[in-house]
This record gives sequence, structure tokens and C-alpha cells, in this order.
Amino acid sequence: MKHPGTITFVEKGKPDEVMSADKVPDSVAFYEDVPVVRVVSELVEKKRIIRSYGADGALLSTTREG
Amino acid sequence: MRTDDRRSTLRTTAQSGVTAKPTQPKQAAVPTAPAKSAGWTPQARASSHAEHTHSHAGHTHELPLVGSRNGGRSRTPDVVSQDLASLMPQPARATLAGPRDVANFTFEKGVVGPAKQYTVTVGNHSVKVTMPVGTQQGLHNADIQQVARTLARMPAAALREVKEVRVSPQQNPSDAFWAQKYNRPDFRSYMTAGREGIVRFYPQTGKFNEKSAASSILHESGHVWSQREWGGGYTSRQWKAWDNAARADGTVVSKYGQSSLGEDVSETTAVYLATRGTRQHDQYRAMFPNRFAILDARFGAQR
Repeated sequence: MKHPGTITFVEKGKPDEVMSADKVPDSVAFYEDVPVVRVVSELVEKKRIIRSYGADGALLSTTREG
Repeated sequence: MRTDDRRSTLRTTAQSGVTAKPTQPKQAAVPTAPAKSAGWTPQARASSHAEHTHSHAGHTHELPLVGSRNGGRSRTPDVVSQDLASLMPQPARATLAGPRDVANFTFEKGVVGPAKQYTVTVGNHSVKVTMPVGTQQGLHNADIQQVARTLARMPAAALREVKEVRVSPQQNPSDAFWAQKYNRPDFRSYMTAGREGIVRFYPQTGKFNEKSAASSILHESGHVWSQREWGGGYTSRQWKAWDNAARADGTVVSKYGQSSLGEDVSETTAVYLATRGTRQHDQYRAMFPNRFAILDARFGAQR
């Protein structure tokens, strides 16, 4: 599936950052071949939780830091 | 390709841990290709004053805190679902079938290697578990018994959202990017969870923590069912109904639950499922009556 082009990285307390999808690894830009267009990250109890969303706003995957 | 399918049973209890009873090997088909605050005890509506901002569906409003009051100060847990392991019922009984050898299993894109596949059954739900043969040097992975015990700890209704577990032989391929992006040189994923119910565990420098893993999966299962049934983007009538319920309750389940409507659903669902059948459940219900009513309709008599 073709990526629409950009991914917006959202982090609490920081300005959103828009990156070109071809500047990030495929493992970040896609989840199971579905394009990721928004990544929301938050520090919770000193560990990072990263959530990747698709174009329809659906949560595609969550990554938890060890 | 060699096929080796052994059946064994596991009984997981707090006292005995896991015992396996292997039986006769039998032939089986092999796929051709890949494939949270400590000490927080629910109190009756603990606070009536608004201290925190609650943001739902793109708008912001003030909600009072729930949780215990220590020295006159209200306290809201950071992530309630991380603290639920101690409230969850005793681990259930798990049955383990396998392993079946797979020569080249795709753990995820770009990560292919030999694997052993098991089926872990808890109650009437089965989960395919793929274990690596070997792990990145210097790191530790969960073993199959730990994975089985983790699944057995989960409330049945949450476990139903888990279709597959893959224990990766190596670090998450995205870790290098996350490390740079978030300026955390030692960033290492321990788990990912996908919308289709696939959970991946990654090798760590430390020991695998079953309670923490079960709590994380419990939380993520809330996202899986709510996104599947209510859609993404928090715009459907169901999400609006939840938003209204949260407003009517006037309470927050945790600080993390405040970060979005989706997190509020997941945190509240975790509390709801983990405490069902315990006396704490009624205490939580008193704090979140409208949201629990929605969950009653969703989960009904499911355990």
C-alpha cells in the first residue's frame, strides 16, 4: 500500500513534528502494510508508550518501552 | 521441514507454577511461510474539586480526581491498569499444545528465523504462540511457560482479544529510530500490540515480568475491542456516549486515562474486567457508574 507521504509525531508539551514517510524506517511508516500517519508518544511512569495511528484515525499498534 | 508436535498440559496456579505433561508426538501441518499506582485503593468518590484537565474528543473540560486522599491531597494513579495484577483473579488453568517446528517464521517484516509454535488454551480461548529458536546474544526472552502463565492471568474477556503472541528473537527493528527520535539511546521495546490482536514480546536485559505483561495486554485489549466495534477517530455515537458517561461520572480513572478518550476506555475496561467478582468492583462501580453501565452492556455475563 502506498504511503500518503507524511507522518505527524505528537508528543505532549512539544510542537508536532511532520516527517516525510520516506525518512523513517518502514517498520515505523507502516503497520502490517497499513500506512501510519500519526504517532503519539507519552512518558508514563518513566517509560515511553508509542501509539501509531492510520489515516482513518484508528489505532494500529502500540509500542511499550522495556 | 521437520514437524514435531507434542501435546502437553499446563496447570498454572499461584502455588505450583507450571507443570507440563508431554504425551505422544503426532504429525501436524506446518505453514509454508510466515506468518498500572502502587497502593492505590478505590475509595468512594474521593474528590469533588476539579484539579485536572480532561480532554475528550478534541474538547477539554475539568474533572475531579478519584483515588485515595492522603493527608488531604487527592491522588490519581498514573496508569491504573499497571496496578491491577494484584486484583486479578488467581491464574486460570492453561493447556499447552506443541511445539511444532517452523524453519523460517516471519516474526515481523525483516525478522525471519526458526521457531517453535505452540497453542496455549485458557478456558475456551486458544492463542497461537511462536517462540524463537535462540535469542539475540546477551538478552533474555520470555519462555513458553511464562507466556502461558501471563495469558492465564488475564480476565477471559480480555484474553479473547489476543489472537497470537510472537516472542521475537531480536530487538524491535524500530528501536533505533525511537531511540533517536525520543533521545533515549538505550530505548528498547518490550512489547508491541496490534489492532488485530497480535502481541509481540522482545528480548530484554532483565527478566520477563508476567504480572506487568498481563497488565499491559489487559490495557491494550481495551483498545482492540473499542476500536474494532466503535471505530477510530473517536467520532462515532459510541465514543460520544462514552464521553457523555465520563462527564456524567465526573471522575477520572487514571492520569493516563486522561490523555484521550481511547485511553479512558482502556483504563476503565481494565479496571472493570480485572475486578469483576471482587469486592473492589462495587467500589469502582460507585466511582464510574455510567461508564460501567456501558461496559455491562458490552461484556454482559462474560467473564
